[in-house]
Amino acid sequence: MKKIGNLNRFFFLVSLISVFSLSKVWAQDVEVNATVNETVVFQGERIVLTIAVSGSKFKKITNPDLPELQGMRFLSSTPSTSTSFSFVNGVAKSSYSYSYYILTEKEGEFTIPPVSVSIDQKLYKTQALKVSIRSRSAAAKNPNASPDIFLKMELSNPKPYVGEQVLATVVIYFKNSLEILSYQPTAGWKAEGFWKEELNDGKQPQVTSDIINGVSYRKAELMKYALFATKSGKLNLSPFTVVTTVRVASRNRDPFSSFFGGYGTNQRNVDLETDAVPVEVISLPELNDAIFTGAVGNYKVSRSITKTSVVAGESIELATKIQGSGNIALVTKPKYEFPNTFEEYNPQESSDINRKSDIIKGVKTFSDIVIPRTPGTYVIPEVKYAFFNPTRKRFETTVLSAINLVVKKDPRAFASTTQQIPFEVQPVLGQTFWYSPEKFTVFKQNWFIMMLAFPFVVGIALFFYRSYLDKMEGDVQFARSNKASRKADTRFNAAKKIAESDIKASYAEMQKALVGYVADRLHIPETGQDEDIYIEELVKKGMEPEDIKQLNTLLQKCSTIRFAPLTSMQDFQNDFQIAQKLYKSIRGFV
Amino acid sequence: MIINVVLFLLFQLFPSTQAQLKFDQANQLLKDQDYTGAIKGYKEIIDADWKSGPLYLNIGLAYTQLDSLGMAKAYFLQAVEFDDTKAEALKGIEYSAKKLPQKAAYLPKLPWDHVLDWTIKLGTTGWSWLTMTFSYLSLIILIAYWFWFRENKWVLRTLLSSIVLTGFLAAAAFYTDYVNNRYGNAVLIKEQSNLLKSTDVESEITSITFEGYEFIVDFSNSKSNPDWVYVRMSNGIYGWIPKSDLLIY
Repeated sequence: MKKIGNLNRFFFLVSLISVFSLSKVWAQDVEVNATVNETVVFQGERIVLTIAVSGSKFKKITNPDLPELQGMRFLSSTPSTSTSFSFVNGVAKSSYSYSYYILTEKEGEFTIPPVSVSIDQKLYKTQALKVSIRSRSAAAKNPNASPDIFLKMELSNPKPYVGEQVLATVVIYFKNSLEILSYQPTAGWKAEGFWKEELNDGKQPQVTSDIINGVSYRKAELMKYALFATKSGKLNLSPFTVVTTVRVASRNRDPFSSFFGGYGTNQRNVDLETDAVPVEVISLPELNDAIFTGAVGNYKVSRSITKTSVVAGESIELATKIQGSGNIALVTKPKYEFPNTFEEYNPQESSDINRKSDIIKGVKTFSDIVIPRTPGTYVIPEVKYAFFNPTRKRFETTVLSAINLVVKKDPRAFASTTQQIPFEVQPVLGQTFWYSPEKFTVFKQNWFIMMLAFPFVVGIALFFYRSYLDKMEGDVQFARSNKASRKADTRFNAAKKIAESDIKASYAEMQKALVGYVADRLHIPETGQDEDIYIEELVKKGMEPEDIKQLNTLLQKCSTIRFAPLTSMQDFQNDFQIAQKLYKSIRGFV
Repeated sequence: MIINVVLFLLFQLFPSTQAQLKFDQANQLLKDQDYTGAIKGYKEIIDADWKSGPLYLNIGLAYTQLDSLGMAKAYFLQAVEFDDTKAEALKGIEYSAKKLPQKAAYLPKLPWDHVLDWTIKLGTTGWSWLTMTFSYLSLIILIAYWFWFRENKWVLRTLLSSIVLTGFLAAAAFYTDYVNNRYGNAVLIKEQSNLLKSTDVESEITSITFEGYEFIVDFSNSKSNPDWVYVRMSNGIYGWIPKSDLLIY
């Protein structure tokens, strides 16, 4: 409970203090004053700060520069202004006043700092003003105090179960001497830990009378909320704030007059706030053998199906209806087990909730849409659905019976024209060709790679062979060099063959074999050359001196043998072996 | 007993006989409107590594009856690849496309795309054998040119043409194999799925895709996460999508 003091005495005091709190700034003929209409106020009340500028010789005034306030705040930085002119003893005088509304927020002694005003580019400052802000709660705690007006939140049940409805009523109490002209709840009240629904019967608040601590009050229920706790434990309902406009009524006024009076001269705005209200929420007991989807209240639950005999592919709607009073908005859909061949679609949900009475009532319907795809007889099993009845303080169970369903074959299964789209493709039911997907990549098989590589290898080999042939045909030196060995071998063989019949001819062949080989390999013309040329070339090539000597001796013998007497076969064979050895030696480096 | 022995021997000699038997059994379930059972039977044939046009067509039809149009479309698309079911499968694709609420946009194919499609259609094996044939042909022409027709320019031109063609055929075989290994096709089988910029579910949404949308799956890029695949939509947008939302074939 929050109280404010006797308003008549309060207004008189405020007027008196306002006069003394006048602050004056004198500068030549310019006078700047700051005043507040009240210096002692209750928390949440509004006061008016007026900056008055008067003088005869000034041209330009800027708006006052507002200071930072402690414990209070300016409701708007735009002032309401007024101007007046006077002409006294031949002197013209102008007066400007700027008025600002200030909302008092915190309890304590506060100071409004000096306000600066620029007049003709010269800065003037008012004096600081003191304001005393009193707490309503402190006044309410005093049993002897009887505040003129206060706000209270009344709960139907301070110890509800989780999900049980609690009616929270915001009630304003005020004395007969006051009239409530209007009220405005502050937006954004949060009931943390609760699901809240505002109740509205569409009627104006009705004023009734009440006596508290022997003092007669009038009271009115301003707002009603249905609260549903969403968790258990000790919770706190935060203060609820209402901004009211009140005025002091005439003494002879009927205490049961209408709630909203007319406008009068003592009209003022008062911010009222309830205390935080503690609520102890009890958790629900255990439940084992039934479906519970959060329903707390008093409900009737039923389940129905649109058709019990359908053709495959036809949709069925299974509706679950939950009707009664309680937390109907928080109830969720029960989950049923359907046969595997049923295709489940997004369930539908509809509700009709009545928020006009103090207890929330209504009906909520959940629709499961399923399509059976395979013919047969099916059963949607029986389930137990439970809700918690807070009046009886226990769970109550409703048995939803099993539903039998016959699904028939669809005679037009493959000839449907759903949504005007013709589709008459028939399945292929007879014999068909079967293919086995490729298990290997043929070009990654070794045998395939070898087969593929063969023409390339042969092609490369043929290329070299063709090049060899071309060179043999086109390059005489190359041809001589390549044929040298074969030619020398032929000549040696011939020398050996004819040795028995013509030993001198054999020496001639042996000489040709050696000289011919060296000539072919070193590209020296074979005929008409002195043998010394071959010897010199072989010396240059690095032939051993001993071999050179032997070769020289052998070649000389070959050249002179035709003039010599007959040589024995034994000598020839020795010379032939030397020739073979020398030939072998020459092949090593030529 | 004798029948069982005969059937056993038949199955060993002709494995496709088993596929045909399962196909007939699944067809019976399809006729009895047990679509789920029929699909199960058909999929056993696929698991045994057999495929045929009627198999894919019938699976598509069964899914059509179950209103799983994304799945139906995926199987019709596979049935289109077989000549015997191409016409019917195209009707199925058209039907599912009309029934699906969301239509996908397709980038028009450039002539180059058609060439690539045709290349892939011939398959790696086809290109490989063509490469083999032309490589031996090139060898024969080479021998003829080098040893008998050295001065004949026409033989030389034929030889060069044959070698170049062999090179192209080999490249086509490698390209087809690369594409077959790297890319696959997929159809969205969920009602809706987000195409994301990365495999993080909180990452930026590139596009919203709907049942029946077709994708090209990039298996190479998808290796990084087994539950996600990197795909290209038919309108050219790339992104990541949960693997379970797709039927990849």
